[in-house]
Amino acid sequence: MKEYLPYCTSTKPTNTLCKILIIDAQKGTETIKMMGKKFPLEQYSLNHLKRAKKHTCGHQLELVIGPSNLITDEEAEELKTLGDGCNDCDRIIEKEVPQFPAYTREQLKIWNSFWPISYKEPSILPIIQIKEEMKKIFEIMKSLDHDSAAIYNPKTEEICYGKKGDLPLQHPIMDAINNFPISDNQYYCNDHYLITKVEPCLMCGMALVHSRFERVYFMEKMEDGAYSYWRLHEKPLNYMYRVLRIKKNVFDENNEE
Amino acid sequence: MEAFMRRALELARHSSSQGEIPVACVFVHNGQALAEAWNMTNETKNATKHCEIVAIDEILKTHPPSILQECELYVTCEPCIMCASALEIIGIKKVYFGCYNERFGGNGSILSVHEGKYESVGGFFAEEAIKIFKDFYERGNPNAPPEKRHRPVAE
Ligand SMILES: [Zn+2]
Ligand SMILES: [Zn+2]
Repeated sequence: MKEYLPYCTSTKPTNTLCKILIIDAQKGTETIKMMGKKFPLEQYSLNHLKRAKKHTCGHQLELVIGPSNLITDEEAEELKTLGDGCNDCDRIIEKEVPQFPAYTREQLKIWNSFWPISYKEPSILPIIQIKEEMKKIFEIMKSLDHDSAAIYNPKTEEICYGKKGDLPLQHPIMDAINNFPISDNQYYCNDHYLITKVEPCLMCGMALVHSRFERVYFMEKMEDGAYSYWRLHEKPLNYMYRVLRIKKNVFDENNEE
Repeated sequence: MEAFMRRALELARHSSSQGEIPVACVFVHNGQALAEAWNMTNETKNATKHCEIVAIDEILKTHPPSILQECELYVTCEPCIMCASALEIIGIKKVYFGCYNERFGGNGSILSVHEGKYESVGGFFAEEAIKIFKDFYERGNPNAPPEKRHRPVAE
């Protein structure tokens, strides 16, 4: 399962102070390897940081060791002995670097101006996954073909289906929304999930925003999909649902249970 | 051209009087109005029934989809991302819109869905379109969710 994380309003980076080793670039590979063992960045939840950054003068590298409050001066000093003794190279400095991963491309650009960041679309298993509920979602997903979509009410377990029609805008999701009965005390499709095999197109993706869906589950990415291509979930809209992509292997595993 | 936009604004005012978010449009084919529509999200209880979608549905009741490729659209507010994509799907020829839609706009504000697909020009009678919005929200949109009431949102 992979979650397409929504737009994060803050493009103001939260930085943390780190100890940095400046060394001769020639010593780079060796030192990076050693640091990977001794000071793994994962251990400080800083694995979004790249270890090395070019120093302003070309033949030197800056290597991030770890958070200043966790790395003792002695530990940092020890690294220096690996250098060739050139005083200008072999020094420890401190710098503010991004404390958290960049979740959006915009953040990436800003974070990168402090320290090089490796950008992976974050993949997390959200705590919202309830086993029983997931079983039901898999079941509905399995029952769908590529030309259908389902609106699921997780409280009542009611399902409303939509099908692709002959007219150009009759996409399965639009049809499902058109078929969905809205009761008086309900705001559109609030609290409902949309389940579809194929990633929604941009029209349908935005129709789901207008309809105030709670979540969207899909399996297959689409070439010009609302999230994988248009990155709708990262846009500063006044509302966004959660987008979850079920990977095929997870789906199969679940079926075997 | 001016006449179609004036007509759309008139419809938007009507939409407002019906308690609908005041956005309206005219589809023009060969210099003649082919369909008119206003936002109907409240009446239909369907958040996707924006005026562009309502008009397209109406046209397709009596015409083949190919006619839409020969149409120009006059709409009082920049099409939202959903409608901008719908217009791309149907292959609209050209879009003229009034004010920009900074929250949801798909013809330049949030996304540029039209780029490389269809021509879209904005800013026609924008002040008038904005005034219709203002008047509507000053009265309070009775159908907005409680937390959204009295907030000047477009579409
Ligand atoms: Zn679609
Ligand atoms: Zn729209």
